[in-house]
Amino acid sequence: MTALLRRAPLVLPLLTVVIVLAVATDSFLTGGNIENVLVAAGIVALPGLAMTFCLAMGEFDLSIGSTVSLAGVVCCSALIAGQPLAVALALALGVGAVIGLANGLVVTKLGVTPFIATLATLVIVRGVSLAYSGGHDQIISSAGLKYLVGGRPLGVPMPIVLVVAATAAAWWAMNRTRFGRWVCAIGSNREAARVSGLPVDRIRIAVYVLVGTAGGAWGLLISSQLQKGNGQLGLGFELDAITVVVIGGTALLGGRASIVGTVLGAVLIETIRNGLNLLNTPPAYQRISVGLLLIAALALKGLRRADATAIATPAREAATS
Amino acid sequence: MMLKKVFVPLVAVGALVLAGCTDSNADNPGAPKDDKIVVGFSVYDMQYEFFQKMEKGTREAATAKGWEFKLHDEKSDENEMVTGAQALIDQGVDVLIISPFKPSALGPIIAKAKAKGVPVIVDDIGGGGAPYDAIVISDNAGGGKLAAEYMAKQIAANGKTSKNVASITCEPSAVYAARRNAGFKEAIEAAGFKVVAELSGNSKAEEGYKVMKDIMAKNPDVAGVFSCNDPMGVAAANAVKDAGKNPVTDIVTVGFNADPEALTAIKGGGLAATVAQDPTAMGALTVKLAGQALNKEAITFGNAAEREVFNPVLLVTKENVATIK
Amino acid sequence: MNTSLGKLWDTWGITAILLLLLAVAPVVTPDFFSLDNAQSVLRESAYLGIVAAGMTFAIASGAFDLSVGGQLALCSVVSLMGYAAGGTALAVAAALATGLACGLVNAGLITRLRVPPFVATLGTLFVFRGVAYILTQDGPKTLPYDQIGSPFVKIGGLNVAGLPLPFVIMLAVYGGAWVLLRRTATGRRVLAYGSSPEAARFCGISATRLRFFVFALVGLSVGIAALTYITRVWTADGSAQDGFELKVIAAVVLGGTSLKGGKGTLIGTFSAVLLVSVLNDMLVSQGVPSAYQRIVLGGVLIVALTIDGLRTRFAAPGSLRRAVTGQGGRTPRPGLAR
Repeated sequence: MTALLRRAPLVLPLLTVVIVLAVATDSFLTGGNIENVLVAAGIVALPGLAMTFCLAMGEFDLSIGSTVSLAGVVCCSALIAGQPLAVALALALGVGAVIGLANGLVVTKLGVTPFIATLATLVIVRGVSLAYSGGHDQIISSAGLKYLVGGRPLGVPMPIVLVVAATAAAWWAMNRTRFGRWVCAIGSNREAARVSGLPVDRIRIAVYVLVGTAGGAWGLLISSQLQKGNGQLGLGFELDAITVVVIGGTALLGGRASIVGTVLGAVLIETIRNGLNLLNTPPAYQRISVGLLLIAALALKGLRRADATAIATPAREAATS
Repeated sequence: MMLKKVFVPLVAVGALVLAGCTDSNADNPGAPKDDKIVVGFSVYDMQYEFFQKMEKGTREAATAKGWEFKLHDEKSDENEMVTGAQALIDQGVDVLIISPFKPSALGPIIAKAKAKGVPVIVDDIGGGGAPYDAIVISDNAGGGKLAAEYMAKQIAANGKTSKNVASITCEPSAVYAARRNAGFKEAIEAAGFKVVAELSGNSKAEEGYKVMKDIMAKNPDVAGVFSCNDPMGVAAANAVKDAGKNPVTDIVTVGFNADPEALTAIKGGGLAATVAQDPTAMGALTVKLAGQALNKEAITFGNAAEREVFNPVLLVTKENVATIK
Repeated sequence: MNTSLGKLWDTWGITAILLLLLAVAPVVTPDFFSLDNAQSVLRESAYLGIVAAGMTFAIASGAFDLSVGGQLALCSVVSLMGYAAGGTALAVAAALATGLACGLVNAGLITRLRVPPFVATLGTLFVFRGVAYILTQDGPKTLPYDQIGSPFVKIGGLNVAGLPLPFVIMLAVYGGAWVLLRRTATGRRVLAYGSSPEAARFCGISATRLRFFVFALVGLSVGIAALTYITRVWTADGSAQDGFELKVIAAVVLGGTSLKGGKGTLIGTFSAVLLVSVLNDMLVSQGVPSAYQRIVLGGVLIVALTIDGLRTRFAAPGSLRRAVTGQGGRTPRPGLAR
C-alpha cells in the first residue's frame, strides 16, 4: 500500500473524494455517472499525456486551447465541403502538427521563451480560427465523427479506449525508450544534455509537434461531441491540460514525469467537477474549489518534500520556486 | 542624478505623445453639423452571430437614412467598451448607439456623451441605471416564460409524468441571461414543475455538454432542460442524444437566441425549441430612435420609467422554424 | 555585438520601437495625435502599466504572479463596496489593503506551504475571482451615476496639465519602482535572487522575506491599478478583466525583462505597455476586425521576442546556463537526490 501511495500519491485524495461523494450523493456511484466521469477525464487526459512530455522537458505549451478550436473548425468545414471523414481527420491532426512544428521552430531556432512563444501562438491561432470560420458555427451531422466519443467497441466508450491506448504508449515512450530519457534529461539540464551530444533541438521540436497533434485530436473529440466547430471552442483549455499534468505530479521544472499521475490527475479533477455539479454547487464556489484543490495538492507535496529532506541542499527550495 | 537620466526620457515620451496634439474640437468646431450625420455603434462582440446581425441591421438602417456609420467592437471587454465608445464620442459622432458588454459600465460613457450633447441609444443587454435616451430591449424574462410554457405543454404531450426539469445558466456576470432563467423558473414552477438542477455552463458549448451529462446522471427522470443560450442548448441536446434519448420527445431541450445552429437543429429534430430575438430589427429600431432623439422628437416607450422600448421575442419550434431567417 | 550597444538596446530597444511607431501613427491614423485620442491612449494604459511595474519585480526575482487578474477583480469589487459604505477615503484604503492582503496570501502559500509560485498563484487566481463572484452574486458592484461629481470618480477622469491623472499615477509608480529596483539594497537583492537563488542564499538573503516583499509589492500595485481602473469603468464583478495576467506578463517580457530572472527593466516595461496600447489604438481606429487584431498583436510579440532571443543567443552564451522555463533556478535533479 505504501509503495502504491509513493508511486501514485493521488490515489489517496482520489479515494477520499470518491468516498465523500458516495456518501453525500445517491447518484455518484451509478454506472452511468462513473462512465461520465471517466469519459470526461479521458478527453482531458489525452492532451494531458502529450503535455506531460512538454512539462517533463521543463517547458509549457499554452497554445493548445486555440489548436482545439482551429482543428475543430478545419475538420467540420472539410466535412461540410464534402470531404471524406478520413481526410477531415487527417487535416485536423495535420493542422495541430503544423502549429506544434511552428511552436517548436520559434522556440528552438528563434530562441523565443516557450511561455511567450506559445502565448503568442495562442493569440494568433485563435485569430486564424475566428477569421477562417468567419465567426460562424460550422455545423455538421456526421455519424462517423460521432463515433470518436459515441462509439462503443466491445461495450467500452471510445474515449476510454483511446486514452488507455495512449496511456500505454506514453508510458512506454517515457519510461522504456531513449526518447523519454532524453526528454527528462533536457528537463533536468538542457546545457548538459546538449554538451553530451543529444539532439536537443530536434527532441524539443518533436515534443511540440506531439502536443500540437494531441491538441488537434482534442479538437476532434470536442467537435465530435458538439457536432460543430467554431472560433470560440477551447477557450482556457490550455490551463486545463497543464493543471492535470501538474496535479499528477510531473515536476513543473522538468526532469521528472508521471504518466499515470497525469491520468489520475484528470480523473481527480473531473470527479470533483462532477461531484460539485451533483451537489448543485453555485459556480462561484466551484471556482474556489478548483483553486484550493490545486494549492492543496501541491502544498502537500511541498511539505512532504520539505519534511523528508530537511537537511538537503539549500538549492532545494529553488526547485520549488 | 541618475533619476534625471531616466525620468527625462520617460517624461519626454509622454510629452512627445501630447506635443504634436491638436485639440480636435478647436480645429473643427461642430464639424459634423455641416454635412452628414455620423452615427457611432459600439457593439458587444463581433465574434457572435447575434451581434453580427445586430450590426447589419444598424448599419443598413443608418445607410438608408444617408448617415455615416462608424463601428467599434468591444470584444467582450469592459475596458475596451469604455475606451472605444468614448473615442467614438471624441471623434465627433452625432449620436451613439451601444450594445454594452457591461451595462453597469455605461456611466462614464454617458457622462461624456452628455457633456458633448450626444444622445445615447442602448441596444439590448441592459441600461445599468445610467441616463441613456432610450433602450431597445428584448423581453428576456418574457422569453424565459415562453420557453417554460412550451416545455410544460410538450412534456404533457410526451406523456411524461415526471415534474423534474433543469436549467443551464450563463456565467454569473451575464445579467441579461439571468433574466431568462428567472423568467423560465418562475413560469415553470407556476406550472407545477420543480427545477432540480440549476447549473452554470458559463455560456460555453463544451461546458453545457458536460453539465447536461451530470444533470442526467443525477436526475434520470428529468423531463426538460432550458439553456440560457443556444450554444449550450444545442450542446445539451447533443448530450441527450448521446445518452440515447430524444431532445424533443424524451427530454424537452430548449435554447435561447435562435442562432443558426439552433435553427438547423430544430429542423432536424435535434432541439425542441429556442426563443428568437430579432437583432437585425433591433438594430434598425435603434437607428429610428436615434433619429427621433436627434430631432428632439418624443419617443414612445414600452416602459417610460426605464425609457425602454420592447422588441418582441418569439418561440421557435419545428412548426414555425421555416419562417425564421 | 558590441556590449555597450547591446546594453543600450536592452534598456531602450523597445522604447526605440515605440518612438518609431509613434512616428508612423499619424500617417495611419490622422487624428492619432488629437488631444482626445492621445489622452485616451494614456488613460487606458495606466492600470495595465501599474501592475506591469509590480510584475517586473516578480519576474526579475524569477517568479510569476498569475493571480493578478483575480486580484484586480477582487480589489475593484471591495473598493466599490468601500465607496458605498464610506466614500472616497474608504474606497482607496479598501483597494490598497485588499491588494496587499492578496499579495501576502500568495507569499504565505509559497514560503510557508512551499507551493511553487506558478501553481500557488494559478490557484489563487481562481480563489480571488471566486471570492469576487461571491461578493457580486446579486449583480456587479457599480458607481451610481449620481456620484459623477465625487472626488473618487475624478481619479479616472481628471487631467493634470493635460496628462490624464491615471497616467500621472502610473508615472509616479514607475518613478518609485525605479528607485526601489535600482537604488536600494532591496532592489539589488531581488535581482540577485532572480539570477541565482542558491548564490543569493549563501550571501545571506532570506528567500522568505524576499518572496513576501515581491508578492506584497505586486498586490499593492494591483490595488493602485484597481483605483485607476474602476474610476474609469465604474463597475466590477468576478469576471472583470479575464485574461489580464497574460497581458501583464507579455508586457513585462516584451519590455526586456528576462523570464529567467535576474534582469529587470522598468523603462522597457513602461515602453512596452504604451507600445501595445498604441498598436491596439491604431488597429481599432483602422477598423481592423478583432480576429485580425489578434493575429497582428501575436505576430508583434513573436517578432519582438525573436529579436531579443537572437540577441541574447549571440551576446551571452553563459546566460543559457539556466533554462528557459522562467521558473527560477536550475538545480540538482530531485530525482537524483531522492
